[in-house]
Amino acid sequence: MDEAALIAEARRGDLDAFNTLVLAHQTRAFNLAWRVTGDGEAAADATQEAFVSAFRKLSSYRGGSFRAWLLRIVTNACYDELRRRKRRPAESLEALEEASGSGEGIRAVDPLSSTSDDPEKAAEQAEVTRAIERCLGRLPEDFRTVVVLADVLALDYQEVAAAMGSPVGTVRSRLARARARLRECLESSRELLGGEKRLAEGIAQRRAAHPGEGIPKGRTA
Amino acid sequence: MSRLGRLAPKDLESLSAYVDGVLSARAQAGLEARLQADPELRLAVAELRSVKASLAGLPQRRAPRNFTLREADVGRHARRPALPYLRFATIVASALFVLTSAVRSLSLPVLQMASAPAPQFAAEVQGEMEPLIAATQAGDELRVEAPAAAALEEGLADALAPVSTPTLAPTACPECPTSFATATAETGVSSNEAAAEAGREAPAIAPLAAAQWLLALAAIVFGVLTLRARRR
Repeated sequence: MDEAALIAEARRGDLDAFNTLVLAHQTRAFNLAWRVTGDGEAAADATQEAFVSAFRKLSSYRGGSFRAWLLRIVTNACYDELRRRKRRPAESLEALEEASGSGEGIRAVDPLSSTSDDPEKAAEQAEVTRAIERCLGRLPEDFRTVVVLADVLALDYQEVAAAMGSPVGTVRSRLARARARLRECLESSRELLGGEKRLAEGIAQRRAAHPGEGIPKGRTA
Repeated sequence: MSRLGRLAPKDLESLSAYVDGVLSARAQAGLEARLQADPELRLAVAELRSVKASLAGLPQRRAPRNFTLREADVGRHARRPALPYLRFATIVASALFVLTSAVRSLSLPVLQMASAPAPQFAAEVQGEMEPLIAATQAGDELRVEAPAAAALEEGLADALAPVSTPTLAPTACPECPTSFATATAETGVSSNEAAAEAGREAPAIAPLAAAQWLLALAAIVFGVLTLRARRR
């Protein structure tokens, strides 16, 4: 059964038809929620709430991209959830980053991202991912949502506009500014990382020149 | 500040749209001519593409569980009403409706009796008095039948005190059994008075009926509200 037929059945109250739609869209919906809230638990709550709300609001769906219509409900559910929890996404992303550092983060939950055989390259990728997430978390809500919809979930401008309830022109300008801000943030992160790397290299060289210096007693070789 | 941050907002927007391939053919041609001439713009395009690629490369996370809905999630078979107080109000309104109906129906026979035509009532009273008259004529049996008369007096006194008093006139006056016609006439007069009194009481039925209709209306309104709340 195609999507239009499933939607028609669901509008008549067929929960099984609606659940088929849920299964088709839940990964995208959850990833939007995860990137907007920066918190897995909040994202799951927002996604569930969005699907319940979508079933009840099906009569207000007037055609067009069902995916965009659904993602708009998810976006609003995320904003509600964020307000409810009164937590900044940046804090959540930092928590996620800490979890990632301890082996419980993104790579642990997503085997697709840990396909590199080169540990050094994998570590670099993880670092870049964390930097992007950190920068995403620092964007204002609207900017974060627009780049997630357009660049992470690869929706076209019309769908992004429908998902955000904004004109295409607004989406276009907001997306451009959001990308510029992200670039600036990532450059700062790279400089910071570069500085840390140089610092680490300097420490390693000093240790090589003066073995035992700065190392606690009992742990020297 | 990054290269993108130094761009004019209009140029930044155009370059971002160019990277997405959504510029019109004319706007794209114009921008490409500028790009050939301006290496800074070319670098800005490279930066935008880099950001876009970084975001596209972010890992996707699998949903932690299925978000399919159950009947209960959408309140399909919720036994409890959405607004319990509405159900309570419906019950109260219905109970009051039944109560007022009962009070009204119990009150009607007495009131009908009070408003019955006087001759008919007089005939009824006459029928009831015949044994008493016979007892009066029997003389010594009067004392035996007196309690029955007292019982009748009590029964009628509640509803029609002015009527019951003359009915006892023959028993109270053993020497004048022939005055029955007079007594009957008096009874007729008294019955007319009672009917007039009942007529004065009749308007009391109107507020009762109005209250009953109001309660019925309230019960219907609450019932409809409860059903609508359940559907939501």
